[in-house]
Amino acid sequence: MHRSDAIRVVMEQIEDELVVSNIGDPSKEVYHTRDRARNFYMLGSFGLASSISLGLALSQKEKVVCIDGDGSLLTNLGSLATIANQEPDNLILIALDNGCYGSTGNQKTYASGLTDLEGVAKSCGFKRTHKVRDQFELSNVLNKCLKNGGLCFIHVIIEPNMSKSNNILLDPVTIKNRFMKSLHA
Amino acid sequence: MKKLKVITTADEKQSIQLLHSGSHNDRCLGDQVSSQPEIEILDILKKLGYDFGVTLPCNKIKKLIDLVEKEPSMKIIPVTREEEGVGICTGAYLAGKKPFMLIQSSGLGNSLNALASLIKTYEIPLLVLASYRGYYEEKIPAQIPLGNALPGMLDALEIPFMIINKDCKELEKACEANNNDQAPFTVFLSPELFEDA
Repeated sequence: MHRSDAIRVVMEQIEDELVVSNIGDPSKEVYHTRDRARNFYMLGSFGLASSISLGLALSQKEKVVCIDGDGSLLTNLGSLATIANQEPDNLILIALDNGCYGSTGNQKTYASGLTDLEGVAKSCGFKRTHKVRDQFELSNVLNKCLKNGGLCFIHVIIEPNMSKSNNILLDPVTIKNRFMKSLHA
Repeated sequence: MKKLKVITTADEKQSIQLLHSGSHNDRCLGDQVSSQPEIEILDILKKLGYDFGVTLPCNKIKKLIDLVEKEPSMKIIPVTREEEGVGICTGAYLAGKKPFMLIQSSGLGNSLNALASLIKTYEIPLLVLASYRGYYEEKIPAQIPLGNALPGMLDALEIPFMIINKDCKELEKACEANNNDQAPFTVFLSPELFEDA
């Protein structure tokens, strides 16, 4: 499974949920797979997609799905401890783990070595974690997490991919304004 | 829109301190409530509608952090690193909250990229309330270099800031001056403010 496959599977499952997507190619792929006002494309601030998602989840009732990556989680590892301890019941954190920094030339991350992000999430206090390796598993697990609610961590093992995505044709303030408008409508 | 004065040089900082040295009437002295700057700061934040905060400890503001954590009208999230707090505040703002950070000034150092690439880029209003270290009778040498550099760093990022030395009420003025700006601003709380508390 490549990142674009995983993102397609995730976006197929999304109904009214709020989606926060990670810097670089993940946000671009979410945009080109299924652009919607309820997507917040994080264009900068490497590592902070999970933190933005936590702030959102703690501040309103709708479900939040964060599409994050292994490199981004490793650079903001404390975020997993904060999220687990705050334990919002409306947050699903999806870690697309290709074992590398995919947007910058596929340099390896430690997630490709000895570090198991699902294990890290468990140790940080996540009570519901899953590891999936194909589209079918991802679809099933995400479906269950969306139905059952509760804080979930889904560790998605994907293959590194050299394909590049096209840019997002929205400026950051437009992304923010339409996201907020959709949330407060 | 009235902007906060950006203080960049040591001379200007000195002049601000001098300006306040003669204004002891404004100081948090007198009755019991106003002798506690922490309560005054909390009341200003409440009055201005701040309802979501992230915190990282500093010894100088431990009472203030304790107070905001006990304040029922505020959701307070202790964070592991200040940059993480910038992200959490952004999410809270998107959901309609009025966020603030309550941190030590040293933590601004590891938040600058997030303040630029997230807060400034998406035009998010964010109050960063920072216990200003390396500034007033600092005992820890490690606090000095960043403390000295922060005004220039914020200036370079065009993030408005002010330093409150003696009068907590200046926080209200600073917040009101920046209330309608979709941007970050910083208010430094000098340790002097809490000296007599």
